[in-house]
Amino acid sequence: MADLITRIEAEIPALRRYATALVRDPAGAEDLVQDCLERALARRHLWRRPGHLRAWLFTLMRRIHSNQARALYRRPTAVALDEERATSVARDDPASRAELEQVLTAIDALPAEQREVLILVAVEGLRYREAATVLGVAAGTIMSRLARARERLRMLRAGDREQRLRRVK
Amino acid sequence: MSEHPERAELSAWMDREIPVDRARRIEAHIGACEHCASIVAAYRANDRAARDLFARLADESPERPAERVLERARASRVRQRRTGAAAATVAALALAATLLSGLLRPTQSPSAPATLAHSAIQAHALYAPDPSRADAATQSPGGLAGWLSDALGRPLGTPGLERMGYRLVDARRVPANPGPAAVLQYRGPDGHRITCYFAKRPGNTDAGMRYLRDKSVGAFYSVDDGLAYAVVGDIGRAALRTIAREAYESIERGYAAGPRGG
Repeated sequence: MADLITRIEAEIPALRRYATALVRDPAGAEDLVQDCLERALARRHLWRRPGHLRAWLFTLMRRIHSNQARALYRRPTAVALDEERATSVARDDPASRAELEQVLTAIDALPAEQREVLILVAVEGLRYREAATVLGVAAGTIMSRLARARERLRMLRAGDREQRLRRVK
Repeated sequence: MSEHPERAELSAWMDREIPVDRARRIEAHIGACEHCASIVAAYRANDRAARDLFARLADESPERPAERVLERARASRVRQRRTGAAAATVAALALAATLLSGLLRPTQSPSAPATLAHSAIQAHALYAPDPSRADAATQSPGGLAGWLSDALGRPLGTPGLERMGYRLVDARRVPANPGPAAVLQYRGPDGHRITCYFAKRPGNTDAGMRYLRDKSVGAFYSVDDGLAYAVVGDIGRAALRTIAREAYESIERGYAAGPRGG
Protein backbone atom coordinates (compact mmCIF):
# COMPACT_ATOMS: atom_id res chain seq x y z
CA MET A 1 0.00 0.00 0.00
CA ALA A 2 2.89 2.35 0.82
CA ASP A 3 4.16 1.52 -2.62
CA LEU A 4 0.92 2.66 -4.23
CA ILE A 5 1.12 5.96 -2.35
CA THR A 6 4.63 6.49 -3.73
CA ARG A 7 3.31 5.79 -7.21
CA ILE A 8 0.41 8.18 -6.71
CA GLU A 9 2.87 10.81 -5.53
CA ALA A 10 4.84 10.31 -8.72
CA GLU A 11 1.70 11.17 -10.68
CA ILE A 12 1.24 14.58 -9.06
CA PRO A 13 2.94 16.52 -11.89
CA ALA A 14 0.69 14.75 -14.42
CA LEU A 15 -2.37 15.49 -12.27
CA ARG A 16 -1.36 19.14 -12.16
CA ARG A 17 -1.08 19.27 -15.93
CA TYR A 18 -4.44 17.65 -16.48
CA ALA A 19 -6.06 19.84 -13.82
CA THR A 20 -4.59 22.90 -15.53
CA ALA A 21 -6.19 21.76 -18.77
CA LEU A 22 -9.55 21.16 -17.10
CA VAL A 23 -9.79 24.19 -14.85
CA ARG A 24 -7.40 26.72 -16.35
CA ASP A 25 -7.12 28.71 -13.16
CA PRO A 26 -4.02 27.88 -11.06
CA ALA A 27 -5.72 27.98 -7.64
CA GLY A 28 -8.71 25.98 -8.87
CA ALA A 29 -6.38 23.46 -10.50
CA GLU A 30 -4.50 23.01 -7.24
CA ASP A 31 -7.80 22.40 -5.41
CA LEU A 32 -8.76 19.83 -7.97
CA VAL A 33 -5.43 18.02 -7.56
CA GLN A 34 -5.91 18.00 -3.82
CA ASP A 35 -9.46 16.63 -4.03
CA CYS A 36 -8.38 14.01 -6.51
CA LEU A 37 -5.54 12.86 -4.25
CA GLU A 38 -7.87 12.59 -1.28
CA ARG A 39 -10.37 10.57 -3.25
CA ALA A 40 -7.64 8.36 -4.71
CA LEU A 41 -6.43 7.57 -1.20
CA ALA A 42 -9.90 6.84 0.09
CA ARG A 43 -10.53 4.48 -2.82
CA ARG A 44 -7.10 3.04 -3.31
CA HIS A 45 -8.40 -0.43 -2.44
CA LEU A 46 -10.41 -0.21 -5.67
CA TRP A 47 -7.29 0.07 -7.77
CA ARG A 48 -6.01 -3.47 -8.00
CA ARG A 49 -6.27 -4.41 -11.64
CA PRO A 50 -3.02 -4.24 -13.59
CA GLY A 51 -4.16 -0.96 -15.12
CA HIS A 52 -2.57 2.34 -15.89
CA LEU A 53 -2.49 4.27 -12.62
CA ARG A 54 -2.40 7.59 -14.44
CA ALA A 55 -5.54 6.75 -16.41
CA TRP A 56 -7.33 5.73 -13.21
CA LEU A 57 -6.38 8.98 -11.45
CA PHE A 58 -7.45 11.00 -14.47
CA THR A 59 -10.80 9.23 -14.43
CA LEU A 60 -11.27 10.18 -10.77
CA MET A 61 -10.21 13.74 -11.42
CA ARG A 62 -12.51 14.13 -14.36
CA ARG A 63 -15.46 12.80 -12.38
CA ILE A 64 -14.78 15.18 -9.49
CA HIS A 65 -14.44 18.02 -11.94
CA SER A 66 -17.71 17.36 -13.74
CA ASN A 67 -19.58 16.82 -10.45
CA GLN A 68 -18.32 20.00 -8.85
CA ALA A 69 -17.51 22.17 -11.82
CA ARG A 70 -20.27 24.66 -11.32
CA ALA A 71 -20.09 24.91 -7.55
CA LEU A 72 -16.43 24.84 -6.68
CA TYR A 73 -14.17 25.47 -9.60
CA ARG A 74 -15.57 28.60 -11.10
CA ARG A 75 -13.90 29.59 -14.29
CA PRO A 76 -12.37 33.04 -14.04
CA THR A 77 -12.96 35.59 -16.75
CA ALA A 78 -10.89 35.23 -19.88
CA VAL A 79 -8.88 38.37 -19.08
CA ALA A 80 -7.85 37.25 -15.62
CA LEU A 81 -6.95 33.86 -17.00
CA ASP A 82 -4.70 35.22 -19.69
CA GLU A 83 -2.91 37.60 -17.36
CA GLU A 84 -2.20 34.94 -14.82
CA ARG A 85 -0.92 32.47 -17.33
CA ALA A 86 1.08 35.05 -19.25
CA THR A 87 2.98 35.75 -16.01
CA SER A 88 3.88 32.13 -15.56
CA VAL A 89 5.09 31.85 -19.13
CA ALA A 90 6.92 35.18 -18.92
CA ARG A 91 9.51 33.77 -16.53
CA ASP A 92 11.01 31.81 -19.42
CA ASP A 93 13.46 33.10 -21.92
CA PRO A 94 11.93 35.55 -24.43
CA ALA A 95 12.66 33.44 -27.53
CA SER A 96 10.45 30.53 -26.50
CA ARG A 97 8.00 32.79 -24.69
CA ALA A 98 6.39 34.20 -27.82
CA GLU A 99 5.94 30.73 -29.26
CA LEU A 100 4.51 29.32 -26.04
CA GLU A 101 2.04 32.16 -25.78
CA GLN A 102 0.84 31.40 -29.28
CA VAL A 103 0.47 27.73 -28.49
CA LEU A 104 -1.39 28.59 -25.31
CA THR A 105 -3.78 30.87 -27.18
CA ALA A 106 -4.32 28.23 -29.85
CA ILE A 107 -4.97 25.45 -27.32
CA ASP A 108 -7.34 27.72 -25.39
CA ALA A 109 -9.24 28.30 -28.61
CA LEU A 110 -9.93 24.56 -29.01
CA PRO A 111 -13.33 23.20 -27.93
CA ALA A 112 -12.99 21.68 -24.44
CA GLU A 113 -13.56 18.09 -25.61
CA GLN A 114 -10.78 18.39 -28.19
CA ARG A 115 -8.39 20.06 -25.79
CA GLU A 116 -8.90 17.30 -23.27
CA VAL A 117 -8.07 14.52 -25.72
CA LEU A 118 -4.99 16.40 -26.87
CA ILE A 119 -3.75 16.62 -23.28
CA LEU A 120 -4.46 12.98 -22.49
CA VAL A 121 -2.80 11.53 -25.58
CA ALA A 122 -0.26 14.03 -26.93
CA VAL A 123 0.92 15.43 -23.59
CA GLU A 124 0.36 12.57 -21.13
CA GLY A 125 1.01 9.67 -23.49
CA LEU A 126 -2.15 7.64 -22.83
CA ARG A 127 -3.16 5.03 -25.40
CA TYR A 128 -6.46 5.68 -27.19
CA ARG A 129 -8.15 2.93 -25.17
CA GLU A 130 -6.98 4.46 -21.89
CA ALA A 131 -8.09 7.95 -22.88
CA ALA A 132 -11.45 6.47 -23.92
CA THR A 133 -11.86 4.99 -20.43
CA VAL A 134 -11.05 8.32 -18.78
CA LEU A 135 -13.56 10.20 -20.92
CA GLY A 136 -16.17 7.45 -21.08
CA VAL A 137 -16.31 7.40 -24.88
CA ALA A 138 -15.37 4.92 -27.64
CA ALA A 139 -11.76 4.64 -28.82
CA GLY A 140 -12.90 5.74 -32.27
CA THR A 141 -14.16 8.98 -30.75
CA ILE A 142 -10.70 9.60 -29.30
CA MET A 143 -9.19 9.13 -32.75
CA SER A 144 -11.54 11.59 -34.45
CA ARG A 145 -11.46 14.19 -31.68
CA LEU A 146 -7.68 14.12 -31.55
CA ALA A 147 -7.43 14.44 -35.32
CA ARG A 148 -9.75 17.45 -35.22
CA ALA A 149 -7.75 19.00 -32.38
CA ARG A 150 -4.44 18.57 -34.19
CA GLU A 151 -5.82 19.88 -37.46
CA ARG A 152 -7.40 22.88 -35.80
CA LEU A 153 -4.21 23.66 -33.91
CA ARG A 154 -2.26 23.42 -37.15
CA MET A 155 -4.61 25.84 -38.91
CA LEU A 156 -4.60 28.28 -35.99
CA ARG A 157 -0.84 28.31 -35.84
CA ALA A 158 -0.46 28.59 -39.59
CA GLY A 159 -2.73 31.65 -39.34
CA ASP A 160 -0.43 33.08 -36.66
CA ARG A 161 2.58 32.68 -38.89
CA GLU A 162 0.85 34.34 -41.80
CA GLN A 163 -0.05 37.32 -39.65
CA ARG A 164 3.52 37.65 -38.46
CA LEU A 165 4.82 37.64 -42.01
CA ARG A 166 2.34 40.30 -43.01
CA ARG A 167 3.46 42.46 -40.12
CA VAL A 168 7.10 42.12 -41.19
CA LYS A 169 6.18 43.30 -44.70
CA MET B 1 -1.03 4.59 -52.33
CA SER B 2 -1.76 7.58 -54.52
CA GLU B 3 -4.63 9.06 -52.51
CA HIS B 4 -3.80 11.13 -49.47
CA PRO B 5 -4.67 9.40 -46.18
CA GLU B 6 -7.32 11.15 -44.11
CA ARG B 7 -6.13 13.52 -41.41
CA ALA B 8 -7.49 11.18 -38.72
CA GLU B 9 -5.31 8.40 -40.12
CA LEU B 10 -2.21 10.57 -40.17
CA SER B 11 -2.90 11.53 -36.59
CA ALA B 12 -3.53 7.94 -35.46
CA TRP B 13 -0.45 6.78 -37.38
CA MET B 14 1.67 9.17 -35.29
CA ASP B 15 0.31 7.53 -32.15
CA ARG B 16 0.83 3.97 -33.49
CA GLU B 17 -2.90 3.40 -33.16
CA ILE B 18 -3.70 1.84 -36.56
CA PRO B 19 -3.20 -1.69 -37.92
CA VAL B 20 0.36 -2.52 -38.98
CA ASP B 21 -0.30 -3.09 -42.70
CA ARG B 22 -2.21 0.18 -42.99
CA ALA B 23 0.53 1.94 -41.01
CA ARG B 24 3.14 0.69 -43.50
CA ARG B 25 1.19 2.08 -46.44
CA ILE B 26 0.73 5.43 -44.75
CA GLU B 27 4.40 5.52 -43.91
CA ALA B 28 5.28 4.86 -47.56
CA HIS B 29 2.90 7.61 -48.64
CA ILE B 30 4.36 10.13 -46.23
CA GLY B 31 7.83 9.27 -47.48
CA ALA B 32 6.78 10.22 -50.99
CA CYS B 33 4.28 13.01 -50.34
CA GLU B 34 5.67 16.33 -49.23
CA HIS B 35 2.21 17.67 -48.44
CA CYS B 36 1.33 14.91 -45.94
CA ALA B 37 4.86 14.94 -44.51
CA SER B 38 4.52 18.64 -43.73
CA ILE B 39 1.16 18.07 -42.03
CA VAL B 40 2.63 15.34 -39.81
CA ALA B 41 5.62 17.55 -39.04
CA ALA B 42 3.28 20.37 -37.97
CA TYR B 43 1.24 17.99 -35.78
CA ARG B 44 4.45 16.77 -34.14
CA ALA B 45 5.77 20.27 -33.56
CA ASN B 46 2.48 21.30 -31.96
CA ASP B 47 2.39 18.18 -29.76
CA ARG B 48 5.90 19.00 -28.60
CA ALA B 49 4.96 22.60 -27.89
CA ALA B 50 1.89 21.45 -25.93
CA ARG B 51 4.02 19.13 -23.78
CA ASP B 52 6.47 21.93 -23.11
CA LEU B 53 3.68 24.36 -22.32
CA PHE B 54 1.85 22.12 -19.87
CA ALA B 55 5.05 21.11 -18.14
CA ARG B 56 5.68 24.80 -17.46
CA LEU B 57 2.13 25.79 -16.59
CA ALA B 58 1.68 23.03 -14.06
CA ASP B 59 5.13 23.38 -12.58
CA GLU B 60 5.71 24.28 -8.98
CA SER B 61 5.86 28.07 -8.77
CA PRO B 62 6.58 30.54 -5.94
CA GLU B 63 2.91 31.53 -5.91
CA ARG B 64 1.99 28.00 -4.84
CA PRO B 65 4.23 27.18 -1.89
CA ALA B 66 4.10 23.78 -0.25
CA GLU B 67 2.65 25.29 2.92
CA ARG B 68 -0.64 25.78 1.16
CA VAL B 69 -0.91 22.08 0.49
CA LEU B 70 -0.47 21.38 4.17
CA GLU B 71 -3.01 24.04 5.03
CA ARG B 72 -5.52 22.41 2.70
CA ALA B 73 -4.84 18.99 4.14
CA ARG B 74 -5.59 20.38 7.61
CA ALA B 75 -8.79 21.94 6.39
CA SER B 76 -9.86 18.67 4.82
CA ARG B 77 -9.03 16.92 8.10
CA VAL B 78 -11.57 19.11 9.89
CA ARG B 79 -14.11 18.48 7.16
CA GLN B 80 -13.66 14.75 7.34
CA ARG B 81 -13.78 14.63 11.12
CA ARG B 82 -17.17 16.21 10.93
CA THR B 83 -18.35 13.36 8.78
CA GLY B 84 -16.65 10.87 11.06
CA ALA B 85 -14.35 9.42 8.46
CA ALA B 86 -11.42 8.86 10.80
CA ALA B 87 -9.65 6.34 8.61
CA ALA B 88 -9.74 8.68 5.66
CA THR B 89 -8.26 11.40 7.85
CA VAL B 90 -5.26 9.29 8.73
CA ALA B 91 -4.81 8.47 5.07
CA ALA B 92 -5.11 12.12 4.05
CA LEU B 93 -2.49 13.11 6.60
CA ALA B 94 -0.15 10.37 5.44
CA LEU B 95 -0.50 11.66 1.91
CA ALA B 96 -0.06 15.28 3.02
CA ALA B 97 3.28 14.29 4.56
CA THR B 98 4.31 12.42 1.42
CA LEU B 99 3.13 15.30 -0.70
CA LEU B 100 4.99 17.82 1.34
CA SER B 101 8.27 15.95 1.15
CA GLY B 102 7.76 15.56 -2.59
CA LEU B 103 6.95 19.21 -3.07
CA LEU B 104 9.78 20.57 -0.98
CA ARG B 105 12.46 18.88 -2.98
CA PRO B 106 11.91 20.64 -6.29
CA THR B 107 10.91 23.90 -4.61
CA GLN B 108 14.21 24.26 -2.79
CA SER B 109 16.27 23.94 -5.93
CA PRO B 110 14.33 23.45 -9.16
CA SER B 111 17.29 22.56 -11.36
CA ALA B 112 19.22 20.48 -8.84
CA PRO B 113 20.58 17.32 -10.46
CA ALA B 114 18.94 15.22 -7.73
CA THR B 115 15.56 16.33 -9.11
CA LEU B 116 16.65 14.86 -12.39
CA ALA B 117 17.40 11.54 -10.70
CA HIS B 118 13.94 11.57 -9.11
CA SER B 119 12.28 12.30 -12.44
CA ALA B 120 14.24 9.43 -13.96
CA ILE B 121 13.25 7.03 -11.17
CA GLN B 122 9.61 8.07 -11.58
CA ALA B 123 9.82 7.51 -15.32
CA HIS B 124 11.29 4.05 -14.66
CA ALA B 125 8.37 3.21 -12.37
CA LEU B 126 5.73 4.80 -14.57
CA TYR B 127 6.25 3.83 -18.17
CA ALA B 128 5.48 0.27 -19.18
CA PRO B 129 7.66 -0.72 -22.14
CA ASP B 130 5.87 -0.36 -25.47
CA PRO B 131 8.06 -1.97 -28.17
CA SER B 132 6.11 -0.24 -30.95
CA ARG B 133 7.49 3.06 -29.68
CA ALA B 134 11.01 1.62 -29.75
CA ASP B 135 10.46 0.50 -33.36
CA ALA B 136 9.12 3.90 -34.34
CA ALA B 137 12.20 5.60 -32.91
CA THR B 138 14.77 3.26 -34.46
CA GLN B 139 13.02 3.41 -37.84
CA SER B 140 12.79 7.19 -37.90
CA PRO B 141 15.17 9.10 -40.19
CA GLY B 142 18.66 9.01 -38.71
CA GLY B 143 17.77 5.99 -36.56
CA LEU B 144 17.70 6.16 -32.77
CA ALA B 145 20.48 8.78 -32.68
CA GLY B 146 18.42 10.98 -35.02
CA TRP B 147 15.29 10.49 -32.92
CA LEU B 148 17.12 11.35 -29.70
CA SER B 149 18.86 14.36 -31.25
CA ASP B 150 15.52 15.58 -32.52
CA ALA B 151 13.84 15.04 -29.13
CA LEU B 152 16.52 16.98 -27.24
CA GLY B 153 17.22 19.52 -29.96
CA ARG B 154 20.96 18.82 -30.16
CA PRO B 155 23.17 16.19 -31.79
CA LEU B 156 23.54 13.08 -29.64
CA GLY B 157 24.68 9.51 -29.94
CA THR B 158 22.77 6.53 -28.58
CA PRO B 159 23.46 4.81 -25.25
CA GLY B 160 24.79 1.86 -27.28
CA LEU B 161 23.71 -0.71 -24.69
CA GLU B 162 23.14 -3.26 -27.48
CA ARG B 163 26.86 -4.02 -27.22
CA MET B 164 26.18 -5.33 -23.72
CA GLY B 165 23.31 -7.53 -24.84
CA TYR B 166 20.50 -5.07 -24.14
CA ARG B 167 17.49 -4.58 -26.38
CA LEU B 168 15.62 -1.30 -26.79
CA VAL B 169 11.99 -1.82 -25.66
CA ASP B 170 10.62 1.73 -25.43
CA ALA B 171 11.45 5.26 -26.56
CA ARG B 172 9.31 8.27 -25.71
CA ARG B 173 9.39 12.01 -25.27
CA VAL B 174 8.07 13.12 -21.94
CA PRO B 175 6.99 16.44 -20.47
CA ALA B 176 9.62 18.04 -18.26
CA ASN B 177 10.62 21.41 -16.95
CA PRO B 178 12.87 22.73 -18.19
CA GLY B 179 12.02 20.60 -21.20
CA PRO B 180 12.37 18.70 -23.34
CA ALA B 181 13.13 15.21 -22.04
CA ALA B 182 13.30 11.72 -23.52
CA VAL B 183 13.17 8.25 -21.99
CA LEU B 184 14.68 5.09 -23.45
CA GLN B 185 14.09 1.70 -21.91
CA TYR B 186 16.21 -1.40 -22.43
CA ARG B 187 15.69 -5.01 -21.46
CA GLY B 188 18.76 -6.98 -20.42
CA PRO B 189 19.63 -10.59 -21.32
CA ASP B 190 18.33 -11.76 -17.92
CA GLY B 191 15.09 -9.77 -18.26
CA HIS B 192 15.74 -6.76 -16.04
CA ARG B 193 14.91 -3.30 -17.27
CA ILE B 194 17.17 -0.25 -17.59
CA THR B 195 15.78 3.26 -18.10
CA CYS B 196 17.88 6.03 -19.63
CA TYR B 197 16.53 9.53 -19.03
CA PHE B 198 17.75 12.60 -20.91
CA ALA B 199 16.83 16.20 -20.34
CA LYS B 200 18.11 19.57 -21.41
CA ARG B 201 19.52 21.71 -18.58
CA PRO B 202 20.69 24.87 -20.32
CA GLY B 203 23.80 26.42 -18.83
CA ASN B 204 24.13 23.68 -16.26
CA THR B 205 27.41 21.84 -15.85
CA ASP B 206 28.13 19.37 -13.13
CA ALA B 207 30.32 16.75 -14.67
CA GLY B 208 30.58 14.28 -11.78
CA MET B 209 28.57 11.07 -11.90
CA ARG B 210 26.47 10.61 -8.78
CA TYR B 211 24.39 7.83 -7.32
CA LEU B 212 20.97 7.85 -5.71
CA ARG B 213 18.98 4.94 -4.38
CA ASP B 214 15.24 4.74 -3.80
CA LYS B 215 14.33 1.38 -2.28
CA SER B 216 15.56 -1.28 -4.70
CA VAL B 217 15.96 1.10 -7.63
CA GLY B 218 19.27 2.89 -8.19
CA ALA B 219 20.17 5.80 -10.46
CA PHE B 220 23.48 7.14 -11.73
CA TYR B 221 23.10 10.69 -12.94
CA SER B 222 25.12 13.57 -14.22
CA VAL B 223 24.72 16.97 -15.84
CA ASP B 224 27.30 17.92 -18.39
CA ASP B 225 27.38 20.86 -20.76
CA GLY B 226 23.65 21.51 -20.52
CA LEU B 227 22.60 17.92 -20.95
CA ALA B 228 21.35 15.83 -18.04
CA TYR B 229 21.43 12.04 -18.10
CA ALA B 230 20.29 9.43 -15.66
CA VAL B 231 20.51 5.66 -15.91
CA VAL B 232 18.05 3.80 -13.67
CA GLY B 233 17.74 0.12 -12.89
CA ASP B 234 16.71 -2.39 -10.28
CA ILE B 235 20.15 -4.01 -10.22
CA GLY B 236 23.27 -3.80 -8.09
CA ARG B 237 25.22 -0.56 -7.87
CA ALA B 238 28.39 -1.92 -9.51
CA ALA B 239 26.51 -3.45 -12.44
CA LEU B 240 24.52 -0.25 -12.89
CA ARG B 241 27.70 1.83 -12.84
CA THR B 242 29.21 -0.24 -15.65
CA ILE B 243 26.06 0.28 -17.74
CA ALA B 244 25.86 4.00 -16.93
CA ARG B 245 29.51 4.52 -17.94
CA GLU B 246 29.01 2.69 -21.19
CA ALA B 247 25.88 4.74 -21.92
CA TYR B 248 27.55 8.10 -21.15
CA GLU B 249 30.61 7.36 -23.24
CA SER B 250 28.55 6.15 -26.15
CA ILE B 251 26.30 9.23 -26.09
CA GLU B 252 29.28 11.53 -25.82
CA ARG B 253 30.93 9.88 -28.81
CA GLY B 254 27.83 10.60 -30.87
CA TYR B 255 27.64 14.09 -29.44
CA ALA B 256 31.29 14.81 -30.27
CA ALA B 257 30.72 13.60 -33.84
CA GLY B 258 27.78 15.97 -34.29
CA PRO B 259 27.99 19.27 -36.17
CA ARG B 260 27.83 21.36 -32.99
CA GLY B 261 29.92 18.97 -30.93
CA GLY B 262 33.36 20.57 -31.34
